[in-house]
Amino acid sequence: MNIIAVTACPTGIAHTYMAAESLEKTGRALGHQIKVETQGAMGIENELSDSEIAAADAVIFAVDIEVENRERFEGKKIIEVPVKLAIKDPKGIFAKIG
Amino acid sequence: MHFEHRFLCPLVNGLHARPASHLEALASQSPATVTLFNERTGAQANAKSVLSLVGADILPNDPLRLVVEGLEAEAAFARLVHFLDEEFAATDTPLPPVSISADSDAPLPRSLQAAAPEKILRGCVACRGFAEGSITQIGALRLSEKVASQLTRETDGLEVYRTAVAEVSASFASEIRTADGLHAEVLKAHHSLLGDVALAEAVASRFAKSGTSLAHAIIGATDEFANTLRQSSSVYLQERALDLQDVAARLLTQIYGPDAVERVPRLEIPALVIAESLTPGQFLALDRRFLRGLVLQHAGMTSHTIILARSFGVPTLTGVADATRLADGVPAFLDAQLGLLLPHPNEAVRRYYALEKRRIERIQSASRKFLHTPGTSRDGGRLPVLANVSSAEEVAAAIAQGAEGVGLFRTEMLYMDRNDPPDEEEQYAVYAAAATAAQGRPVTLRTFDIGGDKPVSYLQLPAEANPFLGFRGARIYEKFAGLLRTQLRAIFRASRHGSLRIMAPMIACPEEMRAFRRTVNEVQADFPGSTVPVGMMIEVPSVALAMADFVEDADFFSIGTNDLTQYFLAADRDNAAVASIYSSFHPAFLRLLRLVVDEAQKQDRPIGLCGELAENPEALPILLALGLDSISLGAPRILETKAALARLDHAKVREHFLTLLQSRDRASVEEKLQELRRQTQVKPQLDIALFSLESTATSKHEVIKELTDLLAADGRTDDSVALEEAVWKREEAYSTGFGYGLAIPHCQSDHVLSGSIAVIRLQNPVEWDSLDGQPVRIAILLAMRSADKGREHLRVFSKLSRLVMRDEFRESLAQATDPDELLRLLSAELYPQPETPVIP
Repeated sequence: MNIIAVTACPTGIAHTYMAAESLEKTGRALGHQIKVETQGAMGIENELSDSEIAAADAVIFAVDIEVENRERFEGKKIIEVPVKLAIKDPKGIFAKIG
Repeated sequence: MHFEHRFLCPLVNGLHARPASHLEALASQSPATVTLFNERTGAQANAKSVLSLVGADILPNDPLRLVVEGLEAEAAFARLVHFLDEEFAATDTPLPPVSISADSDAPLPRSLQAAAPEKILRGCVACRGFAEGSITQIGALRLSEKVASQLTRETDGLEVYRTAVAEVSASFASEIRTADGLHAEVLKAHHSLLGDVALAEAVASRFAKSGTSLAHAIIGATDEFANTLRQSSSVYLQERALDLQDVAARLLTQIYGPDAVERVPRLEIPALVIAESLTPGQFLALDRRFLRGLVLQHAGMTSHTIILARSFGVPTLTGVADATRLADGVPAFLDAQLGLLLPHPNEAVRRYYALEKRRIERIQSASRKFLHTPGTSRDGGRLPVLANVSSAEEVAAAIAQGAEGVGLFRTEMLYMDRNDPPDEEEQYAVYAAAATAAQGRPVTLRTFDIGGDKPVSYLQLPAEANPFLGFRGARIYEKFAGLLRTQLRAIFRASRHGSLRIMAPMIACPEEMRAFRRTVNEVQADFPGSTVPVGMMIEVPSVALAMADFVEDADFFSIGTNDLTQYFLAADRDNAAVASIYSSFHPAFLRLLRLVVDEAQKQDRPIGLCGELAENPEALPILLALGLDSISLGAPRILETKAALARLDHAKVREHFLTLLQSRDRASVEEKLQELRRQTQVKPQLDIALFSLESTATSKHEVIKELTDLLAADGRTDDSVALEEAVWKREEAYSTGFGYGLAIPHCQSDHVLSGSIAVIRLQNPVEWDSLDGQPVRIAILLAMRSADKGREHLRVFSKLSRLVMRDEFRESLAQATDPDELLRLLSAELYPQPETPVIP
């Protein structure tokens, strides 16, 4: 599947990136194509383009704070989870996508 | 004749020390007997004694009766009544509030809270530090058993007392002559208490009435006045109670021999000494080999005992309620940083203070590196770093803080806040003490720089429309030639104790320096064989264009940047309206600096710089580039300046300085300086000083404290308690233990001075409330500076966060054998480009 994700935590120093790494690693291991946008202390990185969003089969928000520019994802199927779940049980999140 | 005057006390605060001393001064001018009766209480006071007047417990609107009798009573009565009616009320100004109260609301560090101390007593920090020892209580003045058991009532007691007062008075007078500044002040206060007539009267009346020994009469009278003073609402008077006890102890020792008074207990093990109060004499009698800390119930920041404790660096708390109730011998920690006394420490408290001790040792060893090294740039450029001081006491402290000498001793401080100038003896003692304390290092004494912003009342200098352009500095030396000669004589006499130098302030033209040098040479003629270099301040821009005309009379120069800047730019440094003009970073000013330094070097004269510019970290590259022979600044900044100097590259800053000289305005100079500072001053995020690979911490609290302490020890935070709190605030959201035995605590804080990564590997895993429920073996702290948000170099943190999710990275973290290997590993992963961060 073609999956995209956004990660964001309050301090934006550690968990945003740990979660991104975790989702990328697990997604690939499960045979998905995955791209993760991080919204941390460095600002928005690896930003998802409109076409990437349009092409995605599923969207994961692993966030503890509001997603910036959330309107980009309107109409998409979004699975929203706390950041730490993406670190603790990434497989469980992908299982929800089914 | 007998004159009486009845009135109500007009003083809003009652009769306290200041109005009492006015009344005392006036009453003492006459041989008449002057008595003040408090009709409310029946108390009566001898108006010639401040102690007695204060002791009469006179409150606002108390009905009072003044009685004047005896010789010249009528004249004295008229003067006193005039004073009481017209001026007395105005002598009372609001008293300062009683200032001793413990800050019991300040939050404790999380790690200390977690240690759950059995009991915490809080107080005010009077001298910072940290100590461990046995509680040792000290009571009030008492006779030794030996003397007390042998006491008999002396028939000639009062004669003995008068003789003793005369003898102690004489020895005070001779001690005052040889004591240095602070100690002399204490002795003078004691000397005046010794002569107080009310004290003598109280002793006499007790001796007459009680029928007991003179010793008990002295102790009784002392206790009576000391209690009155202690109950006074004036902090100043409360503190004089100690001085009074000290005086009584001197008298008793004079009469009954050296063992008469039980001054202080003999300390035989490390002790935390607790006392209601402690006299300066008692303090000095304590064995400082075992004196670890001091806890005083009643002692303000201005008490002489506190000042002495500070000068000896004894950690001290004041105003600790209930400390005197602790039993002797109880083990305790004294935390004179947070203001705590912790008796009966449990194991966790001991561990907390073991960590504190480690932190302090780490800080000391980090700065000790620069303590004995001369100021040197990374590539070996020498720039000696000296201290600015205002008193002899500061010299030893400055040397202990790494000063390579004293570049500016502001001697005018000796002349201020007093009624007459210091004599030769007094000055000799101060300069000799300064020379001795510097242990052969140079001490530059600037001759008194009075006038301008530093008025001295007894010189009666005229008020001027423009004092900074007026009669000040060396310009007043002709008029006060005697004062100058006295000072120069004292300096020449003291010069055999060390390496003294003389420096003239505020010289504008060569003839002034010629006259100064002539006077110096004349005085020097009386001291054959003494050699004291004579130099001058460069504070007036005219000097810059006439350097060659000064070299005949000046052996060295020192640039005073504060005045030079304000005179050069015609901008008052204290006038906020022209603050935008007053700056030493104007290109024109930098060109002026270069001119004077180049000229001095051409003339083969050493040139240094003292003044605020030397304290500005951004200016350091300029000072190094100029090629100065030394800089001189406040002692607390010396180690930091040496450390910053060691990060600079002489060759590079010289190149950089040329571009500064070519700048068109101040803003572009400042911008370029900031850029240089960013390049050189920011510490690398990784440093082996931030790794602790064999930590014995036993809890999450201890680990987080140790991590933040690592940053504190390396100068990366200005408040480690606040940093610890910030890390804990983040942990409260949810644990940063994410599994695999790893935790990655982090924070973003204004208290982080330089973005940092600290690593702790634990000998025994600790609970971290991790996502997988497993204990933690490795904790990595990511500390981000708030101001760095969005900056490129933060990418290191995000990179590291991604790395810890990889099995092989975690494996190699656990395997690294020593800090160097860990540094290589992290550097290779985090800075893959060939350019790795600077590793000191």
